[in-house]
Amino acid sequence: MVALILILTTSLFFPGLIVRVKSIASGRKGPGILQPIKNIYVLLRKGIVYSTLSGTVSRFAPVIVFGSVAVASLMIPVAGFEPLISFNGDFILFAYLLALARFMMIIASFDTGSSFEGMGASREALYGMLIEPALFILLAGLVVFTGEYSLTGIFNLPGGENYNLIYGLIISYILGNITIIENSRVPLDDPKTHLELTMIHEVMVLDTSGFNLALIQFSSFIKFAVFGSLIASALIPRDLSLAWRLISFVTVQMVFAATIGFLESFRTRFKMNRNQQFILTVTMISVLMFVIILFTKNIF
Amino acid sequence: MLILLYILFGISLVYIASTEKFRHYIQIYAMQGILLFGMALIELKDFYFLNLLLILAETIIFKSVIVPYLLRKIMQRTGIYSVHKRSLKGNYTVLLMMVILGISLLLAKVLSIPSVNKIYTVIAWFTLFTGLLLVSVRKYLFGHLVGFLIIENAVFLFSMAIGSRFPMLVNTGILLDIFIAVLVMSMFLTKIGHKMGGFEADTLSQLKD
Amino acid sequence: MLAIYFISGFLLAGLVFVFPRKKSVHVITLIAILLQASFTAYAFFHRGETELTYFTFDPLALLFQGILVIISSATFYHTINYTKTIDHLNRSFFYASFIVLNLALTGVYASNNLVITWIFIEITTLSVAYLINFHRSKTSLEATWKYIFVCSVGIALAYIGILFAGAASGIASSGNMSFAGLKSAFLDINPIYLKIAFILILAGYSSKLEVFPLYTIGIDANYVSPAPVSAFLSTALVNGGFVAFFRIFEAMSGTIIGIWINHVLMITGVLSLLVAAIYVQKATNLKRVFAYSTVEHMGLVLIALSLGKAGIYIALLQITFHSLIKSGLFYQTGILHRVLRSYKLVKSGGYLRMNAIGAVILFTGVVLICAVPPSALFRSEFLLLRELGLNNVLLFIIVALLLTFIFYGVFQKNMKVIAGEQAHAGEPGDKPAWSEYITQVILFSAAMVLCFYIPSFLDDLFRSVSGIPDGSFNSIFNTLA
Repeated sequence: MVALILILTTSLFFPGLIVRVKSIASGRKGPGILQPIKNIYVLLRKGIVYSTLSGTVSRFAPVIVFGSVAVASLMIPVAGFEPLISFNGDFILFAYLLALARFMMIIASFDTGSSFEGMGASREALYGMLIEPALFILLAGLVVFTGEYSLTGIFNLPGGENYNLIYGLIISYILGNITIIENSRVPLDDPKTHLELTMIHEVMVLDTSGFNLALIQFSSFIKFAVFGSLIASALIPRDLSLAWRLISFVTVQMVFAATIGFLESFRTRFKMNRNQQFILTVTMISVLMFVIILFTKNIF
Repeated sequence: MLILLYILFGISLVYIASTEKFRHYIQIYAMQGILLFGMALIELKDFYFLNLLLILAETIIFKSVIVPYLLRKIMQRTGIYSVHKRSLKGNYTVLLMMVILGISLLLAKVLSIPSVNKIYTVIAWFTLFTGLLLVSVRKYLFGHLVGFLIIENAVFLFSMAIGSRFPMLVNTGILLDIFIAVLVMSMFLTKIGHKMGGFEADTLSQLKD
Repeated sequence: MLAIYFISGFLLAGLVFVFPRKKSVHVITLIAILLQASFTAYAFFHRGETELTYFTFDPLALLFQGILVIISSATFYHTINYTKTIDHLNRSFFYASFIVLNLALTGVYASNNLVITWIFIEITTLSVAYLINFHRSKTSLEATWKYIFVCSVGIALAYIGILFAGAASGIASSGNMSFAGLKSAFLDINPIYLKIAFILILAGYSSKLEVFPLYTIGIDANYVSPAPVSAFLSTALVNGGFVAFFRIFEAMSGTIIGIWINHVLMITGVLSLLVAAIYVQKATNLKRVFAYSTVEHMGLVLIALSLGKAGIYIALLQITFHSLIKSGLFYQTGILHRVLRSYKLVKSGGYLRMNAIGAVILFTGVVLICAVPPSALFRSEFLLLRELGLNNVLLFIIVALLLTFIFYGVFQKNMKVIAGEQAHAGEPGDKPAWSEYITQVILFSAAMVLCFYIPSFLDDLFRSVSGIPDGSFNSIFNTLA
C-alpha cells in the first residue's frame, strides 16, 4: 500500500519538476510544480470530440492504456516497501502490460485515419521493439544476480550479498535510458515540438481530447514514477530506517527528475536514424551488464 | 572498484563503436586513459614505486593529454569531423559488437588462465576485436588511427591481466604505445594529408598487382 | 663490448646530423660499418658468451651477424650513388636510420630474451620507415604508412602472444623470459596457451618474415624503396624476423605441441609459396618479382623448419644463400634502373644490348635464385625436396609444382628484360662504372662456390644451431644416417 501511495505521489510531482528544471535551466521562472496536474484536472472535466472517421478503438483504447499502466504500477516495489501484487514471473507481466499500453496507443492512432499519426505509430513501434531486449536482458541479469523471480525479489538488490553500489548505479543508468525511450523524451523525441513530421509520441495523441487525453497523459506520468521507483529500489540500501528510506526515495526521484530536465535542456534530439543507434547502444550496455553479472556469480 | 573500471571501459567501447563523430572518439579515448590510470593504480600496487609512477604517468599524460591533443590537431588540419558517409552505420556496428562480445566470451572461456579472473581477459579480448573492427569498417584514415590506439589499449589490458606480476612485460607494452603512436601520428600530421589528396582509405589503394 | 658498440653506434647516428656534408656523412657511416665488422670479429672470438645479461653470441647470432656485415657494407656502397643528389637533412636522416637499423638488427640477432627481441624488432620497424620513404612520392608514402601500420598491428599481436607465453611460463617458474627459461617452462604447460601464443607470434612476425599472412607490406615496401634498401630489407630484415621467430620455435618444438607446430608451419609455407606463384605471374615491375621471390624462399624456409633437425639445417642453408643471392640481385636491379630508367617490365627490354656486363650478372643472379645448379640454393632446395619426398609425397608434388610456376614467372620476366625488345627508343641512361659490379660478382661467386664446398666454420655454425652431427650432408647425395 505504501508503495502505491509513493508511486502515485511521485507521479503527481514528477513532470512538473521536469518542466520546472527545464525552465530554470533556460533562465525563466517556469510554471508551478503542480501545473501538469492542474492541466489534467482541467482536461478531465472537458468533453471529448471524436473524429467522424474513428471507430470503437478510439473509444476504449485510452482507458485500456491507463488501466494497464495503473495495474503495472501495482507491481512495483519501492525501496523495500512491498507492492500490492507480487508473484513469480510478474516482471514479464509488467513488461507486457507496458507493451499492451503501447499497442493500444498504436492502434488508436491508426484508427483516426491520419497519416501523421500512422507515421508516428510506426516509429513508436520500432523503438518499442528495439528497447524490449534491453529491458528483458536487464531483468534477466537481475534474476541471475538475486536468484528470485518476482519484481520485488529482483529489485531487492541491496539486500542481497555481493551487492555493490556500482551495480546499482549502472542499472540506474540503463533504467534511466529506458525511461527516456519509453516516455519519448529528448534525445529520442522532443515533446515540445510542434512539427508533426518530427513527432513520435505526441503525434499519436493528436486526435485525442478531453478525458481520454487526460488518461493518456496521466499514464505517462505514472510510467515516469514507475521507472523512478525501480531506480530507487536498485539504489537504496534496505537496512536504513523507514524515515531515511522515505527521504532517500524522495531524493532519488528529485535527482532523477532534475537529471531528465537538464538532459532535455542541454541536448538536442537525435536525427531519426540515430535513434536506432542510441537504442541499440543501450541494449548493448545491458548485454554487457548481463555478462558482468554472470561473471560475478561465477556462472561463466 | 576494479570491476567498475572494467565495466566503464566496456561501456566506453560500446560508445566508440556507435558514435559517428570523431570528436567523440577523442573524448572517449581520453576517458579510457583515465580508466586505465585507475586500473593500473589498483592492480599494479606491488610494483616498484618508480615503475608504477612511470606507468601512471604514461596512462594519464600520454593517453589522456598528449594523444587527444595530437588527434585534435589532425582533425583540424584535415577538416574531417565525422565518419565517412559510406562507412558502416552506427547501429550495425553495435550489432557487430554483440557478436564480438560473444566471441570474446568464447575465447576467454577456452583460453582461460587459472590465476586470472575471466572478466579481465573478456574485456581485453573485447577491446582487441573492437579496435580491429574499427580499423576495418571506418573509411577515413583517422578511424584507422583510433582503431589502432584502441588495439594498444587492449595490449595494455592484456599485460595487466596476464602479466601483472612481471613488471617488464607491462613496461614493454607501454613502450609499444609511446613509440608507435608518436611515430604514426607524427607521420600522419606532417605528410599524408598533403600528398594523398584525401584521407580516405580508398586513396591508399594505388599499390596493387 | 656490446654496450660500447651500441653506444658508439648511437653516437655515430647522432654525429651524422652534426656533420651533414656529404663526405662527412659517408665517412661516419663507413666508420659505423667498420665498427660493426670489428664487433662481428669480436663476437666470433667470444662465441657462446653472454653480455649485458640479455645478449648471447650463440651460433645463430654469429651466423646472421656475419651475413649482416656483408650486406650492410655492400648496401652502404650502393647507396652512395643514390644519396648524391638529395639535400643534407634527408641524407643525414637516411644514414642515421641506416645505422640505427643495423644496431637494432644486431640486438635482434643476439638477444636471448623474448621481450628484448620484441623491443628490438619494434625499433627496426621504426628505423626502416625513413629508408622506405626515400622517394617521397605518393606511392612510397602509402607503402610506408601501410608498412608501419601493419607492422605495428603485427607487433601488438605478437606481444599478446608473448604475454600468453609469459603467463604460461610464469605459472611454472619465476617468469624468466629468456628463451632457455621458456624452453624448460613450456614442457608441462597446458598446450592451449602455447598454441595461441605460437599462432599470435607467427601471425605477428609474419609481417617481418614476409610470409603469409602479412607479406603484402613487405612486397610494397620493397617496391617503393631504392634498390640497395630493398636488398637490405629482403635479406637482413627478413633474417631478423626469422631469428625472432626461430627462437620461439625452438623453445616450443620440444613440447607436446611440436607436431601441431610442424603442421602449422607446413601450411603457412605452402600458402606463401602459393601466393608467390600466383602473384609473380601478375607482377609488372621487376622489384615486385624479386620481392615475391623472397616470399617464396621464406615459404620454403618455413616448410624446411617443419621437417625436424635436418630441416633446421636445410632452413639455415636456404636463408643464408638466399641472403647472398637476393642482395646481389637487388644491387644489379639498381644498376639496371639507372641504365633502363624504369623498373616496369613493359618499359624494360634489351638490357643485354645496352649493358652487357650487367645483363650477364643479372642473368647469373636469376639463374642462381631459381636454384639451378651451380647455385647454392640448388643444394638447399635439393635437400629440402628430398626430405619432403621421403616423408610426404603429396606435399613434395605440391611444392615442386609451385616451384615450377615460380621458376617460370621469375625466369620469363627477367629474360624479357635481358633479351627482349627494347621498349622505348630513348637514349640509355648513364653507363655505370665497372666498380659497381664488384659486390654482385663477389656475392654470386661465393654462392656458386658454396654449392660445392661449405667451409668448415660455416658448416660448424649450421650444425651447432640445428643439432645434427658432423659428417652427414657432406655431399648432396648423402642422407642423414
